[in-house]
Amino acid sequence: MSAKLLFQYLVVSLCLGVTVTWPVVAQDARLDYSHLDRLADKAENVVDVTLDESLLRLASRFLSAEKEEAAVKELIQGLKGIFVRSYTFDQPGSYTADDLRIIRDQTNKAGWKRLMGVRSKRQSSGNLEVYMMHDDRTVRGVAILAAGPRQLTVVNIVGPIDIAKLRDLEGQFGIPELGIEDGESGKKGKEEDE
Amino acid sequence: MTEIERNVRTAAAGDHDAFAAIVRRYQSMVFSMALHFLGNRSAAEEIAQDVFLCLYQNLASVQSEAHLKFWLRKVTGHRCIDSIRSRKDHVEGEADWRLAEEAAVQPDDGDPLLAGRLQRLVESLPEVPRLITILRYQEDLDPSDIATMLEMPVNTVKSHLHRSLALLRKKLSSTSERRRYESYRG
Amino acid sequence: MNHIEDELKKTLGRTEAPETLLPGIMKRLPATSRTARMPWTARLANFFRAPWIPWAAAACTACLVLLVSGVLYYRVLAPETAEPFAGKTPVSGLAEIEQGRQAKEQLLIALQIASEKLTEASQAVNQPER
Repeated sequence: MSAKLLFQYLVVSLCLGVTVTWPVVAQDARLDYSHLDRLADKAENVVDVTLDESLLRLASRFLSAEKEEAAVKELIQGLKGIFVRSYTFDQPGSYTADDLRIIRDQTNKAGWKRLMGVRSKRQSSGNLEVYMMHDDRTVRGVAILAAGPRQLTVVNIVGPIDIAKLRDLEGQFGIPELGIEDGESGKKGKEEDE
Repeated sequence: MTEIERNVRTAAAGDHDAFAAIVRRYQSMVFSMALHFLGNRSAAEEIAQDVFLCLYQNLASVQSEAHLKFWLRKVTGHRCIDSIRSRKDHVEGEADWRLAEEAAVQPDDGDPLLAGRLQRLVESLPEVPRLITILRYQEDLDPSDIATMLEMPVNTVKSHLHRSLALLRKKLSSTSERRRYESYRG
Repeated sequence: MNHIEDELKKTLGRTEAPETLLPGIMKRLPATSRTARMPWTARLANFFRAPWIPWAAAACTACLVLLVSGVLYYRVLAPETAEPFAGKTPVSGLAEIEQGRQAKEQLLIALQIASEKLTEASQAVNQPER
């Protein structure tokens, strides 16, 4: 193989590689769950958090150097956004399977991987699914979908996030009770989702 | 801050010595202006005294040495004009110029020195042109500075200067010719 | 410059003031110091007419503005935001402070929820069902 041919092969491979991997690389971990907006009227309680990069930076400046807040500050460094939507309903069945399917369809796309799925009646959140988008070394985003009979929660974190550290933060914030638990615990043990 | 400005500051606080220093510095200027304007030493001295007493009352408003000089020249000029205007036979405007021109054909007083004749001729000028002439040739001020001081257009100042010089030349030449004629007859 | 102008300069040169002028003026000055005999209102007015007063007023105003800004900064902005708001005006800082506090609150709520759900999932995976 001549040097010229080798060079052409390399260029074509590079172009192909870029073409194939570009959608993954370029894809943002931001989920679209605007279809859930209509649930706000039915819900007893709605938590809607939309923090884009600039708001995250601003919030970061308000975090003190004390232990817990310093940990949060470190955790959110480099994040592009944190988006949470959590509905608590009076009645079961206030949202549809389609509502969940639309979200799952997005997490089934290239780049996303299902990290864990828990179908549980003991847990207050009901079915719990955790998805992660990452390239070779970097986590690009996380999605958590918690769907209980009376509760629906979608958490979407865009950017590199350390899930272990995020989990360890629980109970450290000292913020008031959110009131989004529906107290359906203890009915049935956990079972792995398919 | 100059020494004079320091003197103004302390004089304003009531220091008479500082005020005396100011008077000593500017008395020649003020007195000469009044003397050239009025042609009378005692009247000029009286005007100068009034001007400095007025300054004493207004020391706090003096901002700088240049402002002090400006203020003294302006007030002296106004005091001189006021003293002339307070006379009953005072006339103003064109009538004043006519009187000045008529004075030119009066026989001169026989002063052999040109300077003495010129001084008397300046005294015969109308008040404002007289003051302008004094400010221009005694104080060496530009027409624009004089205009600022007397609050009048520069062109008016220039016009007064031009007319004054013409009149002075005319008066001087007429007295010289008369003197030559009289010496020829004599 | 022509002849007549030269002659005028010579003729109208400054002359020495009579020696009686200065004593005459000094005699007519008030015996007591001027500041002492003036009523306090006039003295106050004179004080404010002094040439250095505008500069002093400007300096005082600048100091006051700095003082107020400093107090505002350290009392209101600095406790939480000394670093982020350095170099910003207090007005824009105050508006931003509110937004920042809300953002922080939202961030903590979001992380609380996310952390809670992850913990639930983790517990469910790790604990055998009874």
